[in-house]
Amino acid sequence: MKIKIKVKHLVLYVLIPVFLLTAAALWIPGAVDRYQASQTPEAIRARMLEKIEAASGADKLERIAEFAVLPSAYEPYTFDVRLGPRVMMQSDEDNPAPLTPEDRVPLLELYVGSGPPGDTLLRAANQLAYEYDALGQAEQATRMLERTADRLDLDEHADGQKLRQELAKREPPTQTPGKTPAASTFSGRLIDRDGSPVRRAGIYLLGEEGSDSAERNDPYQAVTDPNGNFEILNVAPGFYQIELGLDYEQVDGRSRPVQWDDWIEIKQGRNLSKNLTLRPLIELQSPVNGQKLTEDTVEFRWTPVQGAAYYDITGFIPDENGLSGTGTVIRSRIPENRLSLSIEELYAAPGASTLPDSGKWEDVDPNYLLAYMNPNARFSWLVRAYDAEGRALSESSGYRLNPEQTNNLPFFYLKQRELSGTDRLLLKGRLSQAFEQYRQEAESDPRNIHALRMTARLMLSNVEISHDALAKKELLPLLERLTAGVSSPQEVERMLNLLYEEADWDAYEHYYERYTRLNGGQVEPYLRSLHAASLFYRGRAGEAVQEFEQTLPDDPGHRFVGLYLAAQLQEGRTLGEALELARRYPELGYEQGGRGWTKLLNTMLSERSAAGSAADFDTRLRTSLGEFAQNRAADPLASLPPTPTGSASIDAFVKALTNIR
Amino acid sequence: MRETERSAIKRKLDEELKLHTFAGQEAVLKRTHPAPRKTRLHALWNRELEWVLNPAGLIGGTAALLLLAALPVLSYTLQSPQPAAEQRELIEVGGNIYWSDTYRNEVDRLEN
Repeated sequence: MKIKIKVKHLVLYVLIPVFLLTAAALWIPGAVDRYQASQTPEAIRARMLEKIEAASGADKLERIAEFAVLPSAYEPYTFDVRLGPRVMMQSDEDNPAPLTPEDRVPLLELYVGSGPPGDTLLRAANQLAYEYDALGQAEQATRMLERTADRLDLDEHADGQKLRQELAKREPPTQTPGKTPAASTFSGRLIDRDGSPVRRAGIYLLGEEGSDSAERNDPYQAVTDPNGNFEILNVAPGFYQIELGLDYEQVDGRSRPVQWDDWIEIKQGRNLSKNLTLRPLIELQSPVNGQKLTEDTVEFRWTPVQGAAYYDITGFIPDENGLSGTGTVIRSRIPENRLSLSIEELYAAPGASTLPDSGKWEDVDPNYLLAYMNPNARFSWLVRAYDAEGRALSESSGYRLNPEQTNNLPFFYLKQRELSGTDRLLLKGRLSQAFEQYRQEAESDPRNIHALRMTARLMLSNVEISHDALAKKELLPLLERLTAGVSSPQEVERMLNLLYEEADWDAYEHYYERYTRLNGGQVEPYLRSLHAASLFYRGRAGEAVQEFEQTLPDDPGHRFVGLYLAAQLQEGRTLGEALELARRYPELGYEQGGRGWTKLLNTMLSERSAAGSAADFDTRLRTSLGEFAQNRAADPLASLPPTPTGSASIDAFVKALTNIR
Repeated sequence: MRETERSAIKRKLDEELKLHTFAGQEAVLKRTHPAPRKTRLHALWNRELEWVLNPAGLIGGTAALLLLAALPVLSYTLQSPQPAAEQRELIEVGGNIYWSDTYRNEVDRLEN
């Protein structure tokens, strides 16, 4: 075949396209790289600084405003993460902040000194004050704010009030000689796990009354200086919880330094100083990374924590969507940094108790029922360390961001058994059918513990949701058989809660004993408080007092202190003595105030002394408390208001008791 | 008398040269009177090239053309491996919070 082609065609249609393509091939990567380089934060920062440098006068101030003041990322107390006893939250926003604090301080100073009056100026002043604080130059911040306040007419601007408030916060508490100052100072130091200071971190004090961590205008906040020091002036007396604001690098691999229900008290006129230490996350050793366990003994191991008196392990079972939401404690009060369990003990640990949306027990997620007996499920676990006083020290779960932290993923499989046909039926969601089959299997072979256990679990689910008395009756002998053998404290615990709510006191006592035995002789504080409450309801106030006194030191929230006080009163303590106890164990949280019970007792004391007959008052109190206890003995969740006694303070006190559940 | 001599010589030359043909007129004219640049370029531009193709040549040629066409795309993807948009997000797994890409890398590594 011959090809004839004119030179012009060859050039136009072949050589030139080829040339262009080659040129493009060589040029494009270079161009892409150059473009990407120009979009890096460093490049953007350089451009911004150049533009500011190049400008002058009003133009310069405008550019400073645009690049260094207005972007939301520069607002004070903007952190990647908020850590607290109740929260571990990260910010959704991804706002770029190319300029460093060192860049911004001179720019802010310039703007605050000569910028046009307005909201932007106030904003800049606020930001500059924050930067001075972060440098440990709080006084300079105050002076700058005062100068700014003088320059402007604060009432004209929306943010003017904020500046006034900011100045008010910074005023040292007035020291009137002879009088205790009304407000106190809270100060301290935030230290990292290796002893180095944590700088530019946020410290927040959240009071009791419904304050949400999501609010940005928290009343008490400070930023740590280069030595990790912080100071909050003019704190009103009360109970507070501490939260931290940290960036990703600061929180990566660190555990929350404060625990659930950890409150500090700021007393009137007394300053409080507290050092906070970020501890490293506990490293899990085994089983990790999807290890498939096949031995009869399962051994959990983790790196020990200095100062830990004991640990507990929580396991997570994935639900039907593969997500592991709620975890349940597998074992608590573990004295060393390892735990050996037989596989049967692990099988006996139930999953979380869930309430399906439909309200029908047949819709319960079967994964939680089969729990650790499912060889296909990918379980995960975490460990927490506690000191001798029961305060949490650190945990294994937290932010694991850099690649070194992502070793040892907390996953494992239990391959010691295989799914039976009934198991498969269960996992498909056919709970009623599976239930019938398990039941038959258990009846025909009494040694089939698995069938027995699953029958019991399905029945328990049913009873928890429907409160079917007949089902409950049938359940008890099954549970008896199960817990007589290899079992777990958690297996009994759910039953115990149920029996408590149903006021089935004989069965309750029986299983309380069994639970204690299975839990190595220890009783968890919450269950112990419930037990103490039940003793009070059943007229055994003396024993109730003893039990409460065991738990109250371990339970900083003191949720049941009201019942403790009631028990003490029934035992013959005076109101004055009760008042002293209320002060020692203040109840803290949202609904109650730390002063709740002391106030109620004080009111009773005044009413009693004003009353004609003190003995009469005492009798009325006794009767009312007795009636309350009897109501509760029949129904521990009863919240009926008491029969009026004629004394308002007594009624108020007993009414408060009915709110404890 | 010169006229006659000339014509006689011419007649003789013509007779002798009848057997020969002069073919190099163009070449000579080209050299004595070279064409202007424009014409020469135009001629070059429209010159026809010829060559013989065999199947191997055809295949080879097509392959070469395709490769050339694909060059820009190839070099772009080979030289710029990093994802242009880093859409990493935080995910919570097993109680821990990871970056989605670090986590996925670790999971991939473990599964292999």
